[in-house]
Amino acid sequence: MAAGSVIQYSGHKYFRHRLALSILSGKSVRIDKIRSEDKDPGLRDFEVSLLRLLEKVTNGTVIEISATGTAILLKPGIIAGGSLIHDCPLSRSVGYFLEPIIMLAPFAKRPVQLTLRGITTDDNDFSADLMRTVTLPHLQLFGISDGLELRIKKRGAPPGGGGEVQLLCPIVKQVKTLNFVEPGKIKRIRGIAHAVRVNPQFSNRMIEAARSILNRYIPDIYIYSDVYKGEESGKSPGYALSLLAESTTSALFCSEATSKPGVAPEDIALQATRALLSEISKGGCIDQKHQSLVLLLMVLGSEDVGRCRMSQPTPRTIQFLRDVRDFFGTSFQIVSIEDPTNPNSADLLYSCYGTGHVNANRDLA
Amino acid sequence: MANHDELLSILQAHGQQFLSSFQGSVKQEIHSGRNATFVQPRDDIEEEEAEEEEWEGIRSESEAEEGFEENDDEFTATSTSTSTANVIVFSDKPSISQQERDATTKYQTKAFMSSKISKLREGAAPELKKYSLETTDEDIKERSNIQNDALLHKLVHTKLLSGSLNSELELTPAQRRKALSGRVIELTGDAKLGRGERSVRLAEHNKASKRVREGLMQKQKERRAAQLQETKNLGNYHPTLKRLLDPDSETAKPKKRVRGLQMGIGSFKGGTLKLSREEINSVQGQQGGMASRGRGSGRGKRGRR
Repeated sequence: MAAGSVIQYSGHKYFRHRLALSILSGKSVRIDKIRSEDKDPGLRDFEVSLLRLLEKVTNGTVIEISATGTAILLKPGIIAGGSLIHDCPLSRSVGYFLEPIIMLAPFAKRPVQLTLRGITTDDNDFSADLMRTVTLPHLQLFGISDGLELRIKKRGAPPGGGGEVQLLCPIVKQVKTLNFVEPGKIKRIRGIAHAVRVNPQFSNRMIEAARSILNRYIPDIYIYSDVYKGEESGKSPGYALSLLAESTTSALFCSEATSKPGVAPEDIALQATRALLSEISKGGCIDQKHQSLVLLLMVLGSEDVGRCRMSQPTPRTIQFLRDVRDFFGTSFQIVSIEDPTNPNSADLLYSCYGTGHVNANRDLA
Repeated sequence: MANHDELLSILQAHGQQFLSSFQGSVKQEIHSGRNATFVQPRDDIEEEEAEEEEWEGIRSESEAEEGFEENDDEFTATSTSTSTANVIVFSDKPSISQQERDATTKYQTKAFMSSKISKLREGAAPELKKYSLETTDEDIKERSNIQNDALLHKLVHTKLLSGSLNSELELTPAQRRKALSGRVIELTGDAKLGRGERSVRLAEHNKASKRVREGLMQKQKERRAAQLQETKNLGNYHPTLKRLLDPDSETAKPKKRVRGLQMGIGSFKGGTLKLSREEINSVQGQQGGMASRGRGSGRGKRGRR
């Protein structure tokens, strides 16, 4: 790590992936002008909580926050891992905190056993169900699968929370190179409908509504109704539907919708279903929300060309690619694919030369 | 066209032959009936899809489904309009029975809802293989074959006809004898695989005189120290390998004897008697539990009076 190589950013956006990239690459990062023009300037409570969590997960990290909270400096240490418990604030769900941890956990010194308490299902981030069924299987593409678990011990709906999830992630020496260019055709659709502290018929109603649209596409649809009762159902009422579609080449697409006051469960289900269909229509092998994770793991792969076929990058992904170039010095080559079977597809082939990042932290014993 | 009519007539004859295997008399009615009713189910399917497009609520959808099944039966009923007893059902028989379907869905549920990510991607193939209800002789043979394979593997790798019979090794008669007796002890189960010969040699050492015994132990110690030094020189040593190379751990340490008076319940440590919940329950008897107990105690009271 070169002394004095501090990478400078401004703004509160893209906060998590910049911190994760800093810790992975070992380069310090300074982020300033965080909501400096806002009515409540500076870091929010969940961002501070995230910094605390990163301090717990790593060893030797120095985080300096300015007096007003509008600037931070992060000097990364090594990713220690181990057994941790963290209480998340009720402003964001545990998915917000899990995403950067998932980027860091495979490169830890010891396997991560992280327990997060707070809200498990939210509008803004992935719910715990989708994390388990979609985000973590993307790690399997890179060879991280043995001992990878996400246990949902309790559910918690906003605003009360009261949920608890536990992430167990093994450590790897190096991630494998990805070569995923065949999206295949959708072969089955699965879903999880859950309802806490409301009439359990709500989840059945959501399932019926979702089936009414999806049945005409594929016969193999099954939506599971997840029941949590009593202590494990959290403090507030709520229900949600998470859907995922799997293709013949095991590409995953997902969508979800959570309950809103005054909206019928059937409408929630239709919203989720239509979101799923639009995700599938965008094409590619990886859906839009997981582009950053997959691109990061491609960059950290062995020194070989990794290729992946995805749809158009989102603005978040574009900024992520720029930040990867700042931290790791690697850039992606993005070419559009000429697909004879589907001339309307706007898919792009992302290829990069991996940096050969080896987990030097890991405990050899 | 003539060819076409020929083929049609061949097809009809084939169909009638098939039908005649179920019921002999009514051939002509079936022939006319089938042509007439062929169009109907398709119309019903189209209606069904149209209903599903405008989703009007759960009730209408379930009605539509029932309607579909009814029409399915109608297709068969009109074709056998003359006979009331026999009903020919031309629906696709599901390839797996209801029981199997329940079993597979239960397995799939467990796989999908499990917290282990490695289980999420289980394909359909292993499920069907596991829960195929055709567990006939083939299955039993298959299982015993697998067991036999495992056994064979074990035998081959521990050399059934052991090193004692292998002429390439050029064993002296004494070594051959010990190897064979070691193998026999392993086969009878008195020693773990690979440790039979060692137990034979240890028994022999115990029979030797004190001087010989001490000498052997001394020599073993020296050899082990030399081996440890060798591994350190080569760079293969790591502190966690201490247990492997340590001579003392080769004999299992006897379990520590529990000290003090154990009066049967609980452990007394640091001036306090520590009782677990189960112990308390076993002494006290369960509180406020089952209806039968209440009734029993009531009977007891009444009986006394």
